[in-house]
Amino acid sequence: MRRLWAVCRKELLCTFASPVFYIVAAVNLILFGVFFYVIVSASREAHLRYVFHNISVVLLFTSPMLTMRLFAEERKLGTFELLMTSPLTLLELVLGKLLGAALTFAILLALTVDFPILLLSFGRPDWGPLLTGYLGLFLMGLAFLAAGMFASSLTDNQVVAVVIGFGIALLLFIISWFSPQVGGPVGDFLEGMSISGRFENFARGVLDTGDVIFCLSLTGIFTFLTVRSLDWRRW
Amino acid sequence: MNALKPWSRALGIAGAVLLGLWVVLGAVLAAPAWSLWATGGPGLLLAAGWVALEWTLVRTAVLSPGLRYGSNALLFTGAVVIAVALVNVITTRHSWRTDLTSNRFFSLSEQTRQIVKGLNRKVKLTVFVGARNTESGELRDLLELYGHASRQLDIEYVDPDLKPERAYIYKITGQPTVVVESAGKRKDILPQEMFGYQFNGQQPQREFKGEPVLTAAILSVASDQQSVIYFVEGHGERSIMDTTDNGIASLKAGLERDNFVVKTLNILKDGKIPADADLLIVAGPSRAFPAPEQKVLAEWLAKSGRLLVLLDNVSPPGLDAILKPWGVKPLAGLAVDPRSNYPFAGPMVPAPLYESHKITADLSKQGVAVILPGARALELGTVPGGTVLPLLKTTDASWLEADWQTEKTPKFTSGTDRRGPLTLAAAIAVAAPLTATAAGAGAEPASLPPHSPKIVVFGNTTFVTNGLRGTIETGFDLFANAVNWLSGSTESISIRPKQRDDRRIFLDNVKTNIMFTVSLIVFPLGVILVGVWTWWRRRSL
Repeated sequence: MRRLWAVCRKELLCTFASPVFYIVAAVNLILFGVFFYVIVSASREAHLRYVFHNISVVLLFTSPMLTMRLFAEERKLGTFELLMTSPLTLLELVLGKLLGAALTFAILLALTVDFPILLLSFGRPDWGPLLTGYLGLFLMGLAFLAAGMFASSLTDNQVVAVVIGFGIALLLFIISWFSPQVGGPVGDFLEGMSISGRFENFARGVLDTGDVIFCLSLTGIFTFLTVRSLDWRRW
Repeated sequence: MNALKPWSRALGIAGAVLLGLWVVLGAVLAAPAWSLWATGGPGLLLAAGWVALEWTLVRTAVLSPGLRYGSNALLFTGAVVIAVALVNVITTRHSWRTDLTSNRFFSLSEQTRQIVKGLNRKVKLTVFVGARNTESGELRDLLELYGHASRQLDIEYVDPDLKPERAYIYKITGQPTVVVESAGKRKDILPQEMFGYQFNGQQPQREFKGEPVLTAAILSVASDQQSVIYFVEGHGERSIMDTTDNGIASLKAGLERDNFVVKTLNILKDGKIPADADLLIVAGPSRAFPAPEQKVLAEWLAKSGRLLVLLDNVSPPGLDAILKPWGVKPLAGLAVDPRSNYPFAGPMVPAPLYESHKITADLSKQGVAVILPGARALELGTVPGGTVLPLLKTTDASWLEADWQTEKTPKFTSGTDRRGPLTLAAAIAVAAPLTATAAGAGAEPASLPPHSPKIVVFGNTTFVTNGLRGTIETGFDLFANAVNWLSGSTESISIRPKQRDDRRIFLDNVKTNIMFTVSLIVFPLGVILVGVWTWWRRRSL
């Protein structure tokens, strides 16, 4: 656990020392702010359901940017071999890096705290959907981060890592679009695999254990695949 | 720990068997929740116990070169992914969910949940809706709740643009349409039945009435028998074919939606009351009931009849005589209640208080008001072997206005007007009822009938006319509850369409500017400044 935390701390220090995070965060906050301002001033209702939907789309692009350097940069800088020969186990290394990315993402989400505060000062928001919406964004982001981390473990090129990470996240997001064409049990399966469909429940204020387990399972699977990928490449 | 070591194999096998059962029950069969908990929980504990006891073995196996780098590595990875997918299938099908919206907007009403949980056969819902249909969002949300509430509901979406042949076979004319089918029975729910407008003052508000119509349709196709209701004609009653404001066509539509067969009956022409009649409704008669009709009606009522009477301003001759033996006497005049009334119409439109009864229980609990424009009062007596209970009463500030036709502004006149509280509706249930002749003549009861007669009398008809549909709909719920009580239906359909919580915010220029500045300038700029400061600090290191 101590070693895992050490990896996480190192990741956080690297992230906050790099201008990339501040640029990504500022651009994201401007986009989130535009969604908030436009949607709330048009609907004049004290909720963030549709703001959350728009933010979830932006996360498709943001998540791989937060994870692109996790392993690709280590390889490019030649520090990957150092890590592989360190006393760290692969699982500790992967979980430490994921935790670092997850905390960075949580900070990014926390920087939208002004939205509920503004709603509270102007109206009477319903707290249930606000809390589940943020929880849904975090869990969906976590799954995207794990997918992005897996993509980063496959290559030493950060741009390629972003493209692969974005591709996986996008596929998880739109997979239900094929459901009506396919129909039947396969269509139902595709519907169930859609992370955007799962997020819908969170955004409207419904907490379902199936949705929580789905997001955590995706995170778990991509973490496992990252470990396998690194293990494979080590040899 | 070591003491358990000899048992590790047995624990492992038991755990694997229980987890295997859990998978079969959860993924394949429609198993009840308790069986999943009973197999999944202990199975997981036993398997975890085995892993803990045999940790060295497990670690060696997982880290073995064969599983890590050989051709088995791909198989191992695939097996893990499939196992996680299977767990997801089961946890999704048997998930626990809670609706955290303050008005539980994304939850089904208790009535719907009871009805769909009690289904003993499959009901298929085919939803014809295109991908680009903008109205279908709420319907999809709702159907997801239904699908989650019962495994007996089989929901299928069909896009009429992609599969026009299905739409043609089903004769679909609009989108979205839900076709509800079970055991050869079919009921179509059309878009206009689900989507409507509620007029609150001047501002029409879109209203989604999906839950009441869907639940009624499911109940309708899943139920084996339908009660038959006859509306009595021939005395100037309100017509169930009349779609104008004074008609009651919407009442007919509502009853059919609630799984009743609605017919009309002219007692004088037919000379008898049909054998399949479960309930007779007399809705605002204005002409006399001839003596032979009174006799037929009284005989039927005394045997096992169920009658619902809606009175208009004046009772026609004969009707009072029919009601008299049952302990109900309509009084002349209209109720005036200056304390509890419909504020947009005044004291002649009282909003009476609910008395304790099965018919009023739901509405009383929901705290919604009913209004009876130009209502008459009833004087309640007793009926031997039965109960005569008030359903609605005005406040003690009310009175019965005798001069309502001449007085422009109603005011209490001592001597002619009668002081409240006034009973505006009553329910009569008789366990030891009247004989036919005795009932007709208003005499004392003599013999016992095979079934118990029931009667409900409302001192008003206007509260269920088409004109009030879309304004104050509580009257229709009250009426539906009365019909359900009379017909002995256990399912009382009074599900109100869900109303969105009013969480509108008033945004003036100042507030809009604050929103813009804080969300689009202050926070992003703050992040940029911290970034610049970090960069500057690192540059000077």
